[in-house]
Amino acid sequence: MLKNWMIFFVMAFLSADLAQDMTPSALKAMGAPNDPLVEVAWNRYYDHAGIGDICRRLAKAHPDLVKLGSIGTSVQGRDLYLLTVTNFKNSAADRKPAMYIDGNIHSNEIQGSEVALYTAWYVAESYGHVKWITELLDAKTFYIVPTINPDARDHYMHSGNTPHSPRSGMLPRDDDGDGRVDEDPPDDLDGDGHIVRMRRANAHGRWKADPHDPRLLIEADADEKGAYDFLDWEGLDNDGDGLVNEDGPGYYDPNRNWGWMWQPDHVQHGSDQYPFSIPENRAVADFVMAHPNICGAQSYHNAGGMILRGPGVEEDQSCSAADQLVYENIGTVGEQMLPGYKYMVLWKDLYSVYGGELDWFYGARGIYTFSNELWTSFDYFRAQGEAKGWFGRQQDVYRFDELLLFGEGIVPWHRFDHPQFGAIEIGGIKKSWTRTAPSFLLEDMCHRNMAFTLFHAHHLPQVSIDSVTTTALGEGLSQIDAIIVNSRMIPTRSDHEITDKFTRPDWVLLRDAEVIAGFIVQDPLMNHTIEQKRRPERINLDAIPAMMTVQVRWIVAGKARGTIVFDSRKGGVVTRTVP
Amino acid sequence: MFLAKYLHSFASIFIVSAIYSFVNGDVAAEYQNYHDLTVSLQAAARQHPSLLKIESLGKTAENRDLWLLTMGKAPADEKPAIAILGGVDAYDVAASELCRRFIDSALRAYGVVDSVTSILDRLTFYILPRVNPDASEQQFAAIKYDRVRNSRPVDSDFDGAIDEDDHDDLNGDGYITLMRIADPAGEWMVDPLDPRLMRRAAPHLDERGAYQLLTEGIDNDKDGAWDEDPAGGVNFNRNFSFNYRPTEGAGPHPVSEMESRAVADFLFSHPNVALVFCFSQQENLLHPWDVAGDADVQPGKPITRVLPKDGKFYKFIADQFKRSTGFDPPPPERGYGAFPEWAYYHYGRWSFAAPSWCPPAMTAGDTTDVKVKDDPLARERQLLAWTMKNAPNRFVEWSAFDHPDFPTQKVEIGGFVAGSLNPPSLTKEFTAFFYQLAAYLPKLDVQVKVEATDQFYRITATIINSGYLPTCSELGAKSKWLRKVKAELILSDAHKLISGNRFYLIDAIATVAEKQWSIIGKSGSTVKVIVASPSVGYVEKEIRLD
Repeated sequence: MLKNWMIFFVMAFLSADLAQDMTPSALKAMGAPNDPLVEVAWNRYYDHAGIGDICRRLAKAHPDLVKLGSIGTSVQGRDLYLLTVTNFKNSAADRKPAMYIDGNIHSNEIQGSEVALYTAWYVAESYGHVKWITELLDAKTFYIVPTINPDARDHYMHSGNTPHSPRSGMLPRDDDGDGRVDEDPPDDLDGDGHIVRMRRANAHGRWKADPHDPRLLIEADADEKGAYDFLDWEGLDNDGDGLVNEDGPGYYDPNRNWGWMWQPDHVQHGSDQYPFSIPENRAVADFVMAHPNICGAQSYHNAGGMILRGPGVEEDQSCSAADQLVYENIGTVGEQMLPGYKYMVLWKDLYSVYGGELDWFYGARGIYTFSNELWTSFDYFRAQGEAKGWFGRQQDVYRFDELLLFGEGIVPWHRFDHPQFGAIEIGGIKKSWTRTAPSFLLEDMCHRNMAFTLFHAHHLPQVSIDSVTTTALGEGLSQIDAIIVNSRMIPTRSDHEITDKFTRPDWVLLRDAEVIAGFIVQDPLMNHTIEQKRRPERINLDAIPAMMTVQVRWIVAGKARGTIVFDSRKGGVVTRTVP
Repeated sequence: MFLAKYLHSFASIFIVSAIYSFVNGDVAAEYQNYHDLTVSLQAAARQHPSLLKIESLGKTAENRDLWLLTMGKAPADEKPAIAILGGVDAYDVAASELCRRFIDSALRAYGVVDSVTSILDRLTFYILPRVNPDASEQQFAAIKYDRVRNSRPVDSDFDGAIDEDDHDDLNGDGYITLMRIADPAGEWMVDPLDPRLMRRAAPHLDERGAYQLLTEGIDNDKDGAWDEDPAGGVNFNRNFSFNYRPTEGAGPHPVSEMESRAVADFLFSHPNVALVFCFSQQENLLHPWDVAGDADVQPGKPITRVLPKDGKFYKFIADQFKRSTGFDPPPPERGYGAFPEWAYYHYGRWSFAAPSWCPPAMTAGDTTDVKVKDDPLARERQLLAWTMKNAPNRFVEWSAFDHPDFPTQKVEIGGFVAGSLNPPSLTKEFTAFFYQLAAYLPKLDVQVKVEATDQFYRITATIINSGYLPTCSELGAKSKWLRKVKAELILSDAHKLISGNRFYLIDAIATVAEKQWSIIGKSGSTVKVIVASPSVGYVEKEIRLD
């Protein structure tokens, strides 16, 4: 009896001690906080409800840094969640230079949502702990829409899909011209939750099992007898038209539907009916047009390890040499931050895209925008070498699966009696392998891509009124000179905006003074000036260029006094009192 | 010849239109403002419930309805259709009136004139008489001008203020016309042939400008520009996606506006539309669009000229139109984001456009009896000649005005008034033309031949198009948004399909196409062949296997 009591006592003591050891005493690794207010596992993928849950928890835990909203609803009525992240206490979020981030425009390219969420989480949790990030949220605003295609994201996650489907959103369309919509999607024939490949044994087929890994079906050599026919993705001829899987969910390509250099479907496949005919895209466009403080943007895709910028087509001449330099200065740093990624110009280095999202952002709004193709074949075995396609060599995919995923990524070939094809086998790569990172690489991918986008955000214009000097001119007049500086690599207006004149100029106002004349000082030493005769109290500037200054001058009646206000749609608002 | 037949058979109906005889007055007296148009269209629909339906495609910024009239026997949405749009150029309120008169005359002719009865039984007309009603209403406002922009507030000059420098009726005559300001640095000169007209000086011909030419107004926001940020908005006829340019009045992106989007959504959701006609200065019935050579069409590259096989159809129909109306205007300026081109190049339908009216060509005895080669004022000269003869109060003679912005310069105000391109038009010619378009549409028939060997049957469907136009254009055949003719064999369980697809989708059928199936089945059983496309028609044939 006594003995039992003793054992109980010792046990209780030990467990209390253990519990104390478990929680607070881990050494913080560089990077993510040890004790965030919001715990999120960054080694998995979240559906729309999961994204909503993380968003709500972030907004609740960080009320002065994160606000949850919605930019609209999807075709099936899901919210397009918006996280606005900034220091809400120091100045209005919508007047700070802002970075827009979205992910998942292609519904199967899911991990952009995790990168976007990770970004919101990381900067909110690091505010006040990491100086660089604190300053970033004090000066800039982030508009983060983790998924702009939530309907099809959920379809991708909860229904049978390949790594490449649905890609579209869920607005039903007739893809095969038979007058019916979405009537022949892929089918999960064996009910295992995966849409994989179908093959049929055929002594005269042109495909064979890879001798190194029989799970992999490869083409027989030119002089070699094969053993299989390679059929379609897992599916039936549901509508009896002699075709398999020819009219699945959608189809349109949401990233060909934007209102810049848009072309109809018969020129640019997937562009849909007209620019922004897709409600989710229209919600983004309306939001961006209503937020002229957005001056940088990032959209996350997969795959292939690319940092893409426009233009999407050769004939788009809107990107001047000056703007190309801005892109290059950021993109090349990205290559360093993202091993295995290449900084590329879309039309030149990849392929032509009419009506792409990044082109609308830049073309119609003058916003410097990158699309990152997340996940790179470099990460299979981290051997530098030439690019091996978007998903890497099939042999590497299968080898990685064998050695590091222990076979989890691939459905082994197994028999199925198909109503149209007869006795076949079903097998191949699961949807969540080859385009998306495995659990242990996901957090790495989130962090590195976030870091690139934070670098971009850091270089959104940061304007200050560097110096104000006053001079008495006699005759009851005074002169005020102000030097305005942009200490970042992105100008307050893109060269494209300045050249094609589709946004208002920046203003420098002198308030509470009787302004006689106003000038832009081009060269203070040689006294080269341009006078602005009309409204001299509000001087129009093209922009404060990257890492440069602009000097303005006023002649005022009486003593030099007043308040100088720099007011830029993209460069923010800065005020300084004279003198 | 074709048209003459129609003109003859409809002659009796046009007595009705005589009551709309032209009155030499202002636009408001001859055309219907939004309210009156609404009332008369609603009344027509009430009187002819089995033939005419009125519904709204949505509300504009100023809460006006964008009216759609569906004319024809039910089920209207299941029959091939022609869409007719008025007010694509918003000042063109005559187009709305022509739409209304077409409806009026068709409703009266139904059951009286066999050819009209047959057209309305077989086809549907979707008529959108005024697609930019907020802008069109300026023709009826206290101060009138030819406004084309809807009521979206836009910062046209990007100065951070919206609609802050509108036109001003300085001389108080109720019209916004032009002002010419004597200025030795100006680019404009008085036309030597007619001092009422202004044109740009040609320095290479040793001409010198003597005027600035502006619209009537003051520099309200003191920015050195006049009327550069007027009320509104976006021009419907610049807001479509073909050859769209993000310039003034084009909107933030193609199909950005309530009006353009409502029209596009309506058309995309009506696969039965075969052909689109609109009233517009951006016409192709007097100056057909350029036709591409085969080498010009490259996969994955924008299509900007009429595809080679479609060219002859556009030309023939344009020739017919030109002959019947006698219109002979100078060619239009290049359109950007224009609706009529969109309807062909992006919507994939046959698309025709014509102005609701053109001033007649100059004849001897006209005010300025001249023919000038490459005359830059050809349009204005024709209009002025007609106006002086028929409606002289539609031109305000230049008269001096003390303009506060130009205290030391001579300023005169004058020019054509709003709606000067809106005289009463050729109701019967247009009505006949619409019936003619209906007659040009493809007409489907199918002949089925069966060859039998024992219980083995070879079934051949010969699909015949007896209409003038092919079942779709070459461009339509490329479009995802135009449903092709589907030829389908309907079998029962007693049949086995041996060869052939269950159905075929067939690109443009000019005259004839042939599809074949082989089946095994019981003698005495029946199979069915269905040939159909929403925009072409529906034919089915049941065949007994012997």
